[in-house]
Amino acid sequence: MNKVDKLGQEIKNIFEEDSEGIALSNETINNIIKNSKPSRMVKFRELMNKEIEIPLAPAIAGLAALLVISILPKGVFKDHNIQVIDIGGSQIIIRDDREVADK
Amino acid sequence: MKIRVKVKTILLGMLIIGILYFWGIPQATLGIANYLYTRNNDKAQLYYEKYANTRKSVSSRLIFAESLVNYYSRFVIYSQGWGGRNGVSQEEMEKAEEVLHLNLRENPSKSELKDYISSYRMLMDMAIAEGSPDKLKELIGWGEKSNITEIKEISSIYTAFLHTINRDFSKAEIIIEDLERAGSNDPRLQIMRGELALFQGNIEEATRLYDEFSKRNWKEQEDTYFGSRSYLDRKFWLEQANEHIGEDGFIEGRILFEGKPMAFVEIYLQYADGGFRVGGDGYIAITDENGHFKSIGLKKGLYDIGVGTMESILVDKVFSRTEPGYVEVGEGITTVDFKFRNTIKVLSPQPGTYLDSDELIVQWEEVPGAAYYTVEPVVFTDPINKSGGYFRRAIESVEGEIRFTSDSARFKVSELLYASGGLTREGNDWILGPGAVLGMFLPGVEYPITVNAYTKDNGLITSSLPMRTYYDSLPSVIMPGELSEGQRLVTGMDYPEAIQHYEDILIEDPEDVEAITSLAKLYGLGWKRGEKNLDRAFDLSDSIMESDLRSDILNTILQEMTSEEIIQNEKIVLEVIESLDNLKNDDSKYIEFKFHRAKKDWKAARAALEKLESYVPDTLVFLDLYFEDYDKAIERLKDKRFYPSRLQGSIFTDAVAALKENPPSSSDLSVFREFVERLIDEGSYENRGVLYTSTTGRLRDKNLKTIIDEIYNQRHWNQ
Repeated sequence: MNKVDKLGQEIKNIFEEDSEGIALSNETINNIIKNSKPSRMVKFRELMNKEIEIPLAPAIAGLAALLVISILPKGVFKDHNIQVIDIGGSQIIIRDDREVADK
Repeated sequence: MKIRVKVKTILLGMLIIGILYFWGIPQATLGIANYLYTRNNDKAQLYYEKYANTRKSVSSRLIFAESLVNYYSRFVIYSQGWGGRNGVSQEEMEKAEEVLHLNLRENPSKSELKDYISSYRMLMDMAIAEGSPDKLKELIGWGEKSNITEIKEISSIYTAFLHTINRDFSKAEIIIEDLERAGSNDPRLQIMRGELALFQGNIEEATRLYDEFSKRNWKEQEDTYFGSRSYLDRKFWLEQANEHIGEDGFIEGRILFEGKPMAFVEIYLQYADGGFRVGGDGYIAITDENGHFKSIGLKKGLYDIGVGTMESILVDKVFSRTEPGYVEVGEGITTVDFKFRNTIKVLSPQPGTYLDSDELIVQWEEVPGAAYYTVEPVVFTDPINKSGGYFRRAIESVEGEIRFTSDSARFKVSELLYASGGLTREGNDWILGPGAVLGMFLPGVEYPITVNAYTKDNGLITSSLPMRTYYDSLPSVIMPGELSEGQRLVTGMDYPEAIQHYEDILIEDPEDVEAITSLAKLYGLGWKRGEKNLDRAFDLSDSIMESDLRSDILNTILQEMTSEEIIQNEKIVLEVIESLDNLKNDDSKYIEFKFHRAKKDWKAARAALEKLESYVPDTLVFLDLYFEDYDKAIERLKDKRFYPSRLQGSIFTDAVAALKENPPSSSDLSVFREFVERLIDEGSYENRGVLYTSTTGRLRDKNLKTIIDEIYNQRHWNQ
């Protein structure tokens, strides 16, 4: 275990010594970056970590609208005011709207 | 304002929203629906529907259907009254049926099986409640073919029900026995056993079985069985029904709608005591699939027979009242048929017709067998808001007729504008209702118009006004113009201001018809207790040029006059009676009776009552007895125009007939006459208990005592 570590340290030292004098131009660096292929995972992470700007008010309004549309049934704001009156034993239904088809 | 958000955060948010949408939103919708339902909010149904549409599961559809058809109430119709709670509409029944049928098309998972079975059962209950044997049989057939054991079992139970109501008792018993042997503990089997015992005359066994049923847990007791929730009431009814149930006789008959049988209609019974109960106790029979029924055994007596059905069935149907109300049950079978009819189609006016001329033409389609028709506007105490009380009165045509033999009638609107409306009083001060002062029609107000068809015996064949309908489908007229200041004051019951307003008008224009008629009524009736000014009312009436209008107003004033006022104004009352002589209305003829009653001229009072055309009052029978005309008394009691009363029963009529054979002594007759005088005199009602005890204590004749006992019962003097 120690032997392996020592060997590894030696190799690392040699590389550091050898590369001490090497300097890459910006162009080279850019070329390397440009020509190297990042893995899909890296790409995905990059995408996931990408930050986008969202306008807060429209986002909240949209979300709230979605929730309201999803929960509120159709016609909930329509006043289904139904009054039943009695005329000589007949039950007469007075309704504000005529959604229900006549028989 | 903008925020910077990582894509992964947005995706996480969308995932949460997705879960919320597909799971959380339906649950929240259901939660809102349940909350609204517990608060009796009508909008609960919309949320249940939304829940069913988003979930699309067997359970969600069943919940929605149960919210639509949540109560299987029976609308009860007796001869003396009818009513019931505002139940499920026809549209709600149809919608529930539609979603439950969607459930039956599903292939249910294990977790859905219970709701799937409940959906099937509910559909069958609805078929029974709707009175549809065809639907029930179709569902039974569907259940027989099912490979689900529970569905097959329910199908068998409802087959047993069908056999029971069709009086095929042995077939029903075989099915029930088979199911019991197989270990079924369905409460419906216990109910079927109870019904079988009841219809086979074993009341004791039926009572025992329903008593056992009432010991089941509350959830089972409260459930709906065979389209009804009244099975729990059977126990209480049977326990107190000894006075009605016996072996003397049976009532048999059919219930038809335009000749077609009405199945599964419950038949009820109660004593002929003038009132009526809703709720369906007093159950004695149910119609089979041919609309036929046969009651359990009943003791001899006079009864009121009622029918109970779902309100949704009554939409646009008229209950035909061509037969007398009460039924005398003797030995053997007494036949009673009930008929429902289609409404009369009114061709003119259409709903919401604006009147732009002085002529109102009412036209209708002829009804076969009708002897005559009447046209009756519906006038509310508060006509603007269509609330408060209401009244209907047959109106006179331009020819002065109120009974029409053709299929149309013409009316002059200006004559009806100031004619008297309904007379009502409110509170301890007897504040006059505006309808008594305002005319029959008010400008800018809508009035439904009804047309009724009668037999020659004044039995109602059918009407344009059904048992249940929508207001906007009723023929109606809207009067032109706007309310006057005076009418506005009267409508708001600001009577002192109205009187001042009209008096001011008369200073400017002494012939203003609205001011004269309104003031005459306000003074003549008294806008509150102690505010009558009859002299001023009669003076004002004199200045009305139009004779029919004058008669109408005097008629209204005279009807409210006490005997004392009549005596004080004898001369003018006599003049009015003479002027009213041409009027067809029975109300005006009754005034003549009031005059003679005030004068204590009983012979003339009797003669005045004999002039009534549309009805025979019991007062006339009492006056027949007063003059020892027993044959006439019995004849009048049998008259179809006699309002249904327990006096038509054999106890009363036998006593009257016996008096003919054994006339009372002169002293007894004198006591009885004193009783009759006080009975028909106004105010005697307050001392009814004293009147009864003081009379019976002095009488020896048992027949006269029976007559007075029956009057005591008929008038509920014991309450």
